[in-house]
Amino acid sequence: MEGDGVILTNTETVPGKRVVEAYGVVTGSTVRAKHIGRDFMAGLKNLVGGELKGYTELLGDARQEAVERMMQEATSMGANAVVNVRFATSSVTQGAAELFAYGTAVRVE
Amino acid sequence: MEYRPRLPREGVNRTPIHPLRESAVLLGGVVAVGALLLVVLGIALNLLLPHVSADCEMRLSRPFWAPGQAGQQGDPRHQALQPLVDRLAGHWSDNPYDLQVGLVEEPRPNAFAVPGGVILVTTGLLARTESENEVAFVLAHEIGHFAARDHLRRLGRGLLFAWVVGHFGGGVAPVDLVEQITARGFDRHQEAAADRFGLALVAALYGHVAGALDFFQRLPDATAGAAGDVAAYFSTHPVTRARLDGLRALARERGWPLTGPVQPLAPALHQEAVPDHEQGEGQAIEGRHDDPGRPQGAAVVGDEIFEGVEDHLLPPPGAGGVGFPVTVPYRSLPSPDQWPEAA
Amino acid sequence: MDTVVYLALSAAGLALAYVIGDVIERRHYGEIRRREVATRQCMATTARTLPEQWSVAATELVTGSVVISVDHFKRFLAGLRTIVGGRVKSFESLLDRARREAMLRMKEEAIARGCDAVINVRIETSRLAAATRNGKGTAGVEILAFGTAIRRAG
Repeated sequence: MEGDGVILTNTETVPGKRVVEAYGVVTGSTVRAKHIGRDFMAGLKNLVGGELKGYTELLGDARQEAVERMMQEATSMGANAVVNVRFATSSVTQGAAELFAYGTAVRVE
Repeated sequence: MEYRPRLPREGVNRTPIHPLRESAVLLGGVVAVGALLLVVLGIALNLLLPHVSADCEMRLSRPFWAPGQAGQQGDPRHQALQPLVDRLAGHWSDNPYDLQVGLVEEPRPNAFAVPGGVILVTTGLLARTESENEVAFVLAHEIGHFAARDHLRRLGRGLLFAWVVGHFGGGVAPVDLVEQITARGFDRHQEAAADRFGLALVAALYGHVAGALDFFQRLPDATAGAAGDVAAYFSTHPVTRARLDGLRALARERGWPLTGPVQPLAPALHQEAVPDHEQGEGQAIEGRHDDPGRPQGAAVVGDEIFEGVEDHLLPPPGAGGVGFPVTVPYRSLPSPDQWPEAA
Repeated sequence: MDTVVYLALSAAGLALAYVIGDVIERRHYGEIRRREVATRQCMATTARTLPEQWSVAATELVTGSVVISVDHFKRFLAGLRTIVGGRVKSFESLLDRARREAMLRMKEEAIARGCDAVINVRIETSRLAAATRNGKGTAGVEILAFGTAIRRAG
C-alpha cells in the first residue's frame, strides 16, 4: 500500500544509513472538528482540570492521518524516508484544527 | 547526497467532496443531534416542571407583563374579557394562577398562553368571533395550557436548546434554521389536551357547549391563502375536522348538551375583520368599555387558531419557543377527574 | 412561508458561493501546477545538509506568504462539521492551495534572487479572526513559508 515502509526521522539524516538522493518537501495535513459531545465533556472537565482525553485522542488520530498522507506523498516521489520532520497544529476555524506534518523526502541506503 | 527535485502525486492532501452529498449528510447529522437534544430536554423538563410552583412563575414573569397590563386596565375590551376569564377560571378548582387577559393589536386571529398566567388575545381573533361562547372556548383552551404548564415546557425547552446551541454550536446559521423548522407552537397532544380541558370549562360555565366550537368551523380558508399548505405543514395543530369531531364526541360522552342558548358577544368586543394581508405589530390597544353577556344572534364557526408565544413575544432569534412533534408522556396533564364539573 | 423563503434564499446563496468558489479553486490549482513544474529546479528541503559537492556563494532568507479567505459554502459545511465531528473536508483543499502557493512564492523569490536551492524550510499557519461577531469568525487563513536560499558558487 502506498506509504508503507517509509522511515521517518526529525534529524538531518537517518542514523546508520546514508542519504543518496533528496527529492523535495512533502507535506501531509488534515483538518478535524470536534463534535458537540466531546465539547460538552471538555467543558465539564474544565471545571475540575486535568487531561482532556477526548481531545488528546482526537488530535492524536488526526496527527497520525497527517503523517500517513505525508508518507504517501513521499512514496509517490520514489522516496523511502522522510527526514527533518516537523509538526504544526493551528486553528483554522472555530471548533476545527489543522494538523500538519512536513519533511524532506529522501532515498536512503 | 544529490538533489533530484521531484513533484509528489496530486490530491494527497484533499478529499474530493460532492457538495450535495456532503451537505445532506451534515444537515442530517445536525438535525439528528438537535432532535436528540430536544427529546432529552423534553423529558428532563417533564420531570422538573411539576416542582416549579405557579407562584414562583407568576412572581418571575410579572415584571414583564405588569406595565403592559396596567396600560390596558381602562380598555373597555379588557374590561369585557377579564370577567369572562375570571368566571371560567372559577370553575377550575385547582387554579393556582391569578389569570389575566391582555389584548394584542394583530389582524391574524391568535391567542397565547404566556408564562405568569397571562392570556393574550389578538384583535383579529375578536374580529372573527361572533358569540361569547366562542371567545369563552378560546380562553378556556388557553387555561387548559396553563393547567398542563405547556407554556413553561416550551419556554424552558426553547431557552435550554438555545443556550446549548449558542454555547457549543458557535452560532452556526444552519442550526438556527433547524430550530426554526422544528419550532412551532405546542404539539398535537398538548393541543388536544387543552381542547378537552377547555371544553370542560365551557360546559361547567354555561351548562352546555353550544356555540363554543363554531369559531373553529367558520374560518376554513382564513389561513389557506398563499402560504396555506406550507403553513399547514409546519403547524402542529391537529387537523380541524378531526379536532372538532373529537371534541363533539367528548361532549356526547360526558353528557354536555350540544345545544343551548348562546350568549352574544359583548358590544365592546365587536370588531371589524381586517384582511389577512395587512399585518401589524403586536401592541396593546385600547378598547371600549361594555357590558358582557347581552344576548345576540346565532354563533358562527371558526377555524384553527395558531398559538405561538414566540411569534410575537419572544423575538430574539434562537430564544423562541421550541415545540417538537414527538410523543413524550406528559405526566402532569390534567386528567379527566381533575376537570371542572359541569354546573 | 417566511421559513420557506429564508431556506430557499440561503440555499441559493450557498449554491452560488459553491459554484464561484469551485471555479476559482480550479483555476488556482491549474496555475499552481504550472508554476510548480516551472520552479522545480529550485530544490526546497527542510534539512540543513547540502550536497557535498556544493560550495555556497551567498545565502538569503526568503519568505512566501499568502492569505486565503473561506467562501460561504465551505464555512457552512465546516460549521456543520463542528457539531457532528470528523474531517472538515471542505477546508482541506483550501489549505492545500494556500500552502503550495506560499511555497511557490518563496521559491519564486529565491529564483528571482538567483538562488539554486532553499534549505531549512519552515511553514507557519495562522487564523485571522473576523472583526465582527466578537472575533469568533474567520476572516482568512495566513500561511507563511520561509527558508534559507543558497546560491551556488560556480
